[in-house]
Amino acid sequence: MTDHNCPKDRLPMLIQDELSPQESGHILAHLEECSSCQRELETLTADATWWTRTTRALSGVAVDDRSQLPSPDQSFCSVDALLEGDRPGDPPAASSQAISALLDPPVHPEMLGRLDEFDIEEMIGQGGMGIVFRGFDRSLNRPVAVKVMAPHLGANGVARKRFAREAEAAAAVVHPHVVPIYRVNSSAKRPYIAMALIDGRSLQDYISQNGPLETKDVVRISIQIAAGLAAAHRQGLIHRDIKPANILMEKDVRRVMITDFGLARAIDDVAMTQSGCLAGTPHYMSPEQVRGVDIDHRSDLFSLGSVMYFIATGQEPFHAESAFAVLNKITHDDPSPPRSINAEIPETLDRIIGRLLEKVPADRIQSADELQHLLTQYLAHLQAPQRHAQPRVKGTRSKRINVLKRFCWAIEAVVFFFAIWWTVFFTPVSPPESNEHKNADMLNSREGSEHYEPEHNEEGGREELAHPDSHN
Amino acid sequence: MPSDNQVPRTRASLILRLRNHDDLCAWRDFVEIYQPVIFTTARKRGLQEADADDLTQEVLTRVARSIDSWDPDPKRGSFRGWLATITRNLVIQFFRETNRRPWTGIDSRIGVLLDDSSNESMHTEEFDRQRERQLFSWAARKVQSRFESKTWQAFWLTAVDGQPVASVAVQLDTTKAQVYVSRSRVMSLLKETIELTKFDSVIDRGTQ
Repeated sequence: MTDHNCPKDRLPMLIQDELSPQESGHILAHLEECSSCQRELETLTADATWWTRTTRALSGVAVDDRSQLPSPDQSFCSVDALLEGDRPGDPPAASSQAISALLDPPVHPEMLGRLDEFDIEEMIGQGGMGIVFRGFDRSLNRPVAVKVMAPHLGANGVARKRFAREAEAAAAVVHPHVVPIYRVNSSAKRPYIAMALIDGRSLQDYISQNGPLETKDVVRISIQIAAGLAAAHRQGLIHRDIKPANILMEKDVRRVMITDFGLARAIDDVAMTQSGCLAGTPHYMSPEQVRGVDIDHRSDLFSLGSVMYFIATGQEPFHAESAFAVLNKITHDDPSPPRSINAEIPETLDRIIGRLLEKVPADRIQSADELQHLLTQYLAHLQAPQRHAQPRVKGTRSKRINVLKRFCWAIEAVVFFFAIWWTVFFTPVSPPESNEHKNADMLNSREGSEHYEPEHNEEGGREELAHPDSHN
Repeated sequence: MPSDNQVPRTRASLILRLRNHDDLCAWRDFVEIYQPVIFTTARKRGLQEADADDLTQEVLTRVARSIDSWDPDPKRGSFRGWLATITRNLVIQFFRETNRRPWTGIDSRIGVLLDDSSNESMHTEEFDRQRERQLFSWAARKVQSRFESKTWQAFWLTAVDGQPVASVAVQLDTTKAQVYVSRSRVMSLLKETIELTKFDSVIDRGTQ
């Protein structure tokens, strides 16, 4: 083969697959025989160090085309603490093979696949529990979000049953502020739930991008969450994982909906017993959840308090470097008052949040209903302060104790000063009227000393006169 | 000096992206690549699995905490060198602390770790080896799904397993030219993926 015949300038386009089939066929035929072009192709792609690095780094890594490369060790758990609010420790992106294994072949070439009556259009998310697809319900002609449980969790019978139980309970909650669940499938092959597809984003994303909300918005959104929670609580269902990422905000409209009732935590529990580590963000857990004791609906109220704190200040109430430190803070520390972070937060909102973040459930606002009622009253006041009175909210327990302590100190201080005053002025060696004499005496003595002053000055003068001599 | 046509000044950009704690993609990539590197390095230095886990978390936490103050100037050392140092220091600290406890019985090991002056370069080498491995397998995982099985195999069998192109062509029932093109396409994307991470400052490439 001679060099001048070589289509070397076309080789980059061949690599990028930018040639017409005809031309590429032509060049391939040439490449088959021309060792110079074969070498050129290799160099064009990457220099020699790249090829040797690849060989060295990847040899010994078991792989075949059907299965993925071994995923990196997934034991790193509390990365959420580093990476606020998401789960970056999640498994790497599922390969197309892994996805197609979950789905039936598509009826339409542009679709990804099929799952019962749902056409699956694309993957829209991936989390600890599995993969979320955008799909379309052919029979009812509406878009859906389909969450397919991760195969390694689906294989676990206990996890699957729990998943199904929670999902069915959640499906029974019908409320404008709860994302409706359309279908629950707990088959062994691929457990999934189909729910309404919400066009919007999560509160987490919204706050991350736009910063904290104004007081009125905080209150309005909190009313909606409280209303959704109240509906679920009435049916005995606890969410267990209220956090900004689970509150979806519809586009344009300021309406929020709660999603993932009981699900994430049900999955996490299984993941935890399997791997001994905690998935998901710990920032919004309640103290009783951290301790692992029985929880009731008031645990959700604590988490809602944390969410309100977050949307009002832009910060989590319990913030620390590691997940463990966060959990420790949740159980032991009082968060800084929201007002200390954002001075625009009114006292009443600060108190309401504080009352939700009480460590002891009995000290909290006791129900989502009560909270909703309180916040509604408060919103009315914020919108028309003249017409609606501000609701009265007790301070937090620690605040009340502080006030009590300060009151005690104040009394002690008064008593103390009174005692001193008494000792100084009322330790009468002489009767009260002699007090005036005493004062007069003091006055006299001072006057007396003034009388002597000229003498002193004379003395001093003499001394001064003496000084120059002594110095000289 | 970088021998390929990369623009060096963009190299440190992922580190800069890490400074934005909300840049989850950057953080995800970072953790996916470096978490196993740190973990394996710690395991190779003799830590138990659970301890290596804790240590990994601590290193990543420190990165998150101090990434803002990290100076991307290559003269002051590479990012991965910085990571290797943090890891090494924590490993030493771990042994120092556990050594105080009478029941561990690893006194001899800590002696080696603390005294051997060649240890630092050994540690850095091990760290680099792990990093290289993780970086490439991470990129391979990302890239693999984008290719048909035959294309992928053409790449893997020749470039990784080192089989001759001719025999792979027979094995895959295709032409040699097709094998060459296939593996170039995979390699091209693999390289691009790795370069896109830009974890390392300019100085890094010089040592490869």
